[in-house]
Amino acid sequence: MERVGRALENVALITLLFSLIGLACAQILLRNAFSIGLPWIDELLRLILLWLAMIGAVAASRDHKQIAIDILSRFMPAHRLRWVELVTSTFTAIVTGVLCFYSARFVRQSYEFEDLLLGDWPAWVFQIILPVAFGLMAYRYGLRAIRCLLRGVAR
Amino acid sequence: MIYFSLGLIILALFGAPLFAIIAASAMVGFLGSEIDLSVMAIEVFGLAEMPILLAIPLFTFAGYLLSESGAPGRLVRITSAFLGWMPGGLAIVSLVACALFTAFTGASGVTIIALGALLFPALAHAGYDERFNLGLITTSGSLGLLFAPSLPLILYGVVAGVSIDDLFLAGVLPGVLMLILLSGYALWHNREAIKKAAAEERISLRSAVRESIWEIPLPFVVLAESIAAILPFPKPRR
Repeated sequence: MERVGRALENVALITLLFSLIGLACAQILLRNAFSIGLPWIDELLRLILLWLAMIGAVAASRDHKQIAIDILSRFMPAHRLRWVELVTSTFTAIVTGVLCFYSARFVRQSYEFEDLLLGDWPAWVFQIILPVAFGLMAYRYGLRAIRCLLRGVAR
Repeated sequence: MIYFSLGLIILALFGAPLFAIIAASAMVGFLGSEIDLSVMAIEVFGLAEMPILLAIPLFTFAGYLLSESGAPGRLVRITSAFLGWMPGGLAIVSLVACALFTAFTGASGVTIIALGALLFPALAHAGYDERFNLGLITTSGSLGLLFAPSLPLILYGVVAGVSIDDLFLAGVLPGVLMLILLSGYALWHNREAIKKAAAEERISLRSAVRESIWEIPLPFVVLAESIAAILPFPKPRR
């Protein structure tokens, strides 16, 4: 399952990045060569950027690649590091969990108010990435915390 | 409140991801002012609406393209063709090459990955000690930060509402000053090693220039564009 998830994330990131580049180039070409601009492209680009950033954040959480300070953990013996990781991962899981809960509420409100984006698309379709990504991050960090706990107890 | 902040700082020092630390402190702030936390999702969503942020993935991608295409190697060759004759040339070559590459790639953090692996063994081979090498390479990763088109400057301009063109122009002199100071320090620190160092291989200036003829103009093109406003950076909306 982890393998499938990783592959999905990579495919999503690559597709998003290339559609970002393609659309941005198309817009420049249209504007300068044909003097027409499609306003929906700019809006769509920003939405793609949001998706790219959120999925990138999920991808970064898989190998513990989120930006962090490692000044103390560098000098710690492995058995103690496991308990520290348990604490920091639990903390991160809780924070991303809370973010997931509240962004889900935001999306639900936007669904109820029938907000629109890009003309006549429902906004929640695009905003759904926020709770999904935060949820996935919470899941990953939660899993990590449990793993640290099990390994710590096993010793 | 104070205990909470202290706790967050300790968590950060022990390696909790910084985005979680920042998010947690924002949550506490919002809770303290009795604002519903859904505002965080709205803020994140609103942040993506800034047109300028689009530059970041594009520059990062450009940086990776450059580094995969072997540009770092050519860059080191051309700078050592220009500067390799000096005593302590290689240290200065590293500094200049890193600054240029950082500027090419919009200071997106690719420099250390792209150039570090190349320069570290070269410096060690030339007789510089390991701690100095590591320090030199990590410092020079942030050296090009002040030159156009660096992403941190763009971000700063967006958040602080300052004209990004002005920021780029203003970055030139301090950036050059940093470069000179660091080069001076590199020479001073290694005055013993430099005397002993074997003459470095000379590289023909012409062939080095010909190799990287397509890369040298990159930062100048961006700077000229932002001065002439041919492709002006979008003005901050605030």
